Amino acid sequence: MLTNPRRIMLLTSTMAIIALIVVAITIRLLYQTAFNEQRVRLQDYVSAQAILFEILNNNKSVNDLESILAKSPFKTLAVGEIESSLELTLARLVANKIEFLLPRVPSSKKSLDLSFNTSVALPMRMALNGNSGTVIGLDYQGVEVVAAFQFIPSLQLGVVAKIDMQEIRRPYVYVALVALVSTFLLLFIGAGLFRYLGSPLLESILEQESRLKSVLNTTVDAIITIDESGLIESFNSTAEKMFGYKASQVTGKNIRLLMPSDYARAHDGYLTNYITTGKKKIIGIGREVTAKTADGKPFPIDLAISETRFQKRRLFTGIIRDLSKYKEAQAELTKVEDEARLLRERLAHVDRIGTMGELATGIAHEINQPLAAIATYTQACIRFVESGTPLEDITETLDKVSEQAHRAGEVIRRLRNFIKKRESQRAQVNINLLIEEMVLFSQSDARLHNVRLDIQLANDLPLVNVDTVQIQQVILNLVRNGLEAMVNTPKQERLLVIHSQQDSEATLLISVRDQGHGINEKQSHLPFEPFYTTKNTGMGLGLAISRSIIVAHGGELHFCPNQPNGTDFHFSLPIVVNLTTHKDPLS
Amino acid sequence: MTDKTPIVFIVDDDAAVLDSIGLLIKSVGLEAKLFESAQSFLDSYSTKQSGCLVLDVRMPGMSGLDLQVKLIALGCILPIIFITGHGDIPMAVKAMQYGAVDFLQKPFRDQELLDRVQNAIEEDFQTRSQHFEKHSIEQRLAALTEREHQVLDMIIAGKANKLIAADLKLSQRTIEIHRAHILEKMQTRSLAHLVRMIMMVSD
Repeated sequence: MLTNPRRIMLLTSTMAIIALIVVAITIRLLYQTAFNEQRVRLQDYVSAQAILFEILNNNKSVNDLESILAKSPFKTLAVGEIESSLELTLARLVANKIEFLLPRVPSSKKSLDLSFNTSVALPMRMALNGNSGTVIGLDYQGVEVVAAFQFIPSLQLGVVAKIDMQEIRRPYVYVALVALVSTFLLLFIGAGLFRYLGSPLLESILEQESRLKSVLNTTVDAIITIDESGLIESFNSTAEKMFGYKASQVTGKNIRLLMPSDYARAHDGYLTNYITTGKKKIIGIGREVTAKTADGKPFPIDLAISETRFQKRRLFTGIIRDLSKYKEAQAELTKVEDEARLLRERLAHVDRIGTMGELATGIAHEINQPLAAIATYTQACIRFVESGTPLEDITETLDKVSEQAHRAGEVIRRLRNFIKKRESQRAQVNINLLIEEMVLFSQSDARLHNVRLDIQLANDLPLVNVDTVQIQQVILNLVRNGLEAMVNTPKQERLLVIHSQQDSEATLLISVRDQGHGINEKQSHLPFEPFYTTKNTGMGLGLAISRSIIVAHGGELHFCPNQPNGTDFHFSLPIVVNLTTHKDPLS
Repeated sequence: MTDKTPIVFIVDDDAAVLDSIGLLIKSVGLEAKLFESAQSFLDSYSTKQSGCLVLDVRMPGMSGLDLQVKLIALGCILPIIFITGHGDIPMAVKAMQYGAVDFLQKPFRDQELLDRVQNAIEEDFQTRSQHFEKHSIEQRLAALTEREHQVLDMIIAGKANKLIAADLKLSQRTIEIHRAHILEKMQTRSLAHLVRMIMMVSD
């Protein structure tokens, strides 16, 4: 893996090499052109000199070579270019020795003459061999030169015009050096600039990446990526903890590894099915499934899958949440709720029995009424029979007797129904029917207390899903409290209103309003406290139980002062939304 | 002054009980009128109507006892038979103190009720005739002159004509004439009857 500074180094040097190659090729081409031009020039020059020698020679004798040389313009020509190494040499072969006529050497200095077998003075040797042309080689001084040579047969002279290779090369070497230095300089500046401008960008990308990584690895959800064939591409650290595999162990393996066998078998099918049909069954939806740890232990998870499409392929990312703890908590909660429900039912039952005890006088009256009527009717019947009254009248009276017997039976049925110990059962009912039935219970009680009952029920109320006995118990509790609160109220003012109405889109409100002593503000927190009572009899559980019943039904029980006197107790109940039966969460 | 046929008024808020008692009363040939509340009875009843009242003690609104108190205030003498489902002793005592004829507990034997109804009607009849007699004596008394009243008082006091004449500084003959007028106006011939009549109205 390359570190980022190294990447930059590599990038920079690659660019430098490319730049240098380009420069080198360019310089080479230019040099070639210049070199060829020089050769042509040298050749032209040598030819011109050769022709000149021949012309001079036609006028003078060969022996007079010295004078020709003395008058010749060679020298001027030879030094025609200032600071140039261009030189014209002239030599002849004398006894297998090369005798140089040009350049002239002062007598004090050593002669330039060379043996013909020498390794230097290649152009002159080629000329003296009778050739003409151009060549690169060492001159008489052993310096590498470019030379043009020609043999003048009439004079038996070799003419060579040469120029130092070094001289031709020098500007190009110079340019190459400048190019090299400036390339490195520019690259250095460029790299610096790149670093300066690019590194914040790079850093932010790196930061982004590390942030993403840390999120992936610190998230409470396991995140696993697979490719189209189901092979695992990434496996975050939470996934490692959750499944008990190391990322390196599972990368590249099929995701089936993490599934219980029955699901694993079907998984490839799901994947190919999706890829071929494009029908989404889980993608973007999420669902609860079972996964398997490295130990082979199954556990419940919540799985959400998203799809990422690239140009050539796609990836599936699964976000997995372990539901084991949630499930355990849920089970625990259900257990606690069940216990609370049982307790509430037991308490409610105790309360109902207690209430019935307190209501005994009223209930006795309720049963006594039809009994009295039955007794009186039958006695009247006997008299009718004795007096020979028409049978029709007697039958009519006997019908009434039967009716009253049913009435007494009904009271007893309701009573038994009310105090029977039972499991919570919910039904969809019209609350008004419950109230009306409860009023039958309360009427005798109200009579005992000399209280007038005013039942104000709204028509066409939507249904509520309730435990009828429990709700009746609440109503009865509230009514009895109301009645008892009015003991000290003047008789003509004793009025108890039971009112039902639709309170909002979703709730009904049932109110029980008395004209009694009311509840003062200081005590306003007390009525719902268990064992708080203002009565001589009773346990003080009625309101506490009533509230817990209403809360279990998803409603609320409150009270406020009633006008002009007394208290208004009211409770709400949620309306049944649709007619499809839904499971009671408490039962 | 009093309607002849006695009527048994029955007030009970329980329709079945009301109906059955009504039936029982009618089965012995008595006339019965039924009311489901004390107020509706009060609204339609005229004190001139003789008979008796069978009344439920506990009723919503105006109770039986409330009705009894109201009737007394109106000067109604209709005898009341209370019926109750509760056998409430303090209430029974109170009712009796106010002059109820009787107190029956539901359910009751038919004969018990009928006997009491008969008694009550009888009692009502007696009371009403007494009232009637008292009323006519008072009317007769009103016809006496002032002097005749003076003389009457002295006769009741047991004074002889001679003494009365002396006290009033009148002749004995004049007193005798007054005495004859008094007996005539009071529609009696015996002194003993006259004294009884005066005793009747003077309490």
